[in-house]
Amino acid sequence: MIGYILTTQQYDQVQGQFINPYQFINCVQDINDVWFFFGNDQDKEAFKDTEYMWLFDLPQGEYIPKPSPQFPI
Amino acid sequence: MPDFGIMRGFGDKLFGNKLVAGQLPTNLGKIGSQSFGFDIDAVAFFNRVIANGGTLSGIEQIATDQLVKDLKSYGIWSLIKGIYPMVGSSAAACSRNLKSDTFNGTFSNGWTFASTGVTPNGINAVMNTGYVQTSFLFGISIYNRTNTNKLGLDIGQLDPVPFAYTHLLLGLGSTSMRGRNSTNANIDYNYNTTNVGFWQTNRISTSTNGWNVNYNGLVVGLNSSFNNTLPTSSVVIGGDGGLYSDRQIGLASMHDGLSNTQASNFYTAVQAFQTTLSRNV
Repeated sequence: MIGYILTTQQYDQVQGQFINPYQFINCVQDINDVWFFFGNDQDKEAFKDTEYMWLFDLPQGEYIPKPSPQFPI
Repeated sequence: MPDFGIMRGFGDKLFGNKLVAGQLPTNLGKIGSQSFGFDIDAVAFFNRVIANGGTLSGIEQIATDQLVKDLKSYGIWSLIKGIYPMVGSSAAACSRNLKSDTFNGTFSNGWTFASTGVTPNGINAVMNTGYVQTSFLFGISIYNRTNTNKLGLDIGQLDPVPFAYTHLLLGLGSTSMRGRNSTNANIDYNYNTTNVGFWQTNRISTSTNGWNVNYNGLVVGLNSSFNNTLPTSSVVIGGDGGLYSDRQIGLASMHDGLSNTQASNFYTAVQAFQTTLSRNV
């Protein structure tokens, strides 16, 4: 899975921010604790004209998820 | 000669493929003060969708209206805290709560919105309902349209503290699912071949076997366990706690704990709704 790679500073800037009253930004850390942003074509349309459109210009990289949390928890 | 202008409005608003651009939300489904037999709560939902920037097709309006009427007929409507019919093929529409203008959802990035429902990406996508469980006698429901076994939360919450979870995870191992309701005990059910369909976890009492998991209207598991502390975080859809689902959702709901008869009737109403939309599984 390919995603957009964020620095920690960029993550702090965008995580939890709303792009409209019903959509917000949620990033995720990979197995190496690197922050990733995932956005599909519908997201790209929704982000258009927002101050966070630059997320789609970030460098891309392979996302490897962390192992699933121990379950049952 | 009668004035047929009013009929143009009728056709545009009720049977048109989409709502008319620029249409005032308060006019949705109405000619003057008439509402064509639409339920008042359905019309209020349509208006909220439009006010939020969404659109609904004619068949989506008809199906949703019938869903409201059926739920009222079965005596379930008043027990519902939030219900998301996932119609309108957009975040603006799918985030709206059909029951009322409270607990409207918020979507993260990573969702796909379609006429068949909403699909999380299985990585980070989550919808927050904002609803925090206030009673042990509680239930949650989800209409799953995708048969995958990815370990991910479909609806509920996974707060590790106070170890009182209410959730449905439809992917647990290759052919089993897990339900919890105000407890860290489990109802695990082996579905053998597919997990698509309408799942519920309902607690109707805190006495013996007062907690059920229902699948397509039938009881498939029961238990008695519950904790004395309620979950503290809000109900989310699509993932939580690092466990993200990739299954498409045709409807989700939070409600009081439903009796077996109510759970069966809820399934009947929801399945009719999905069938009208040609997305039943």
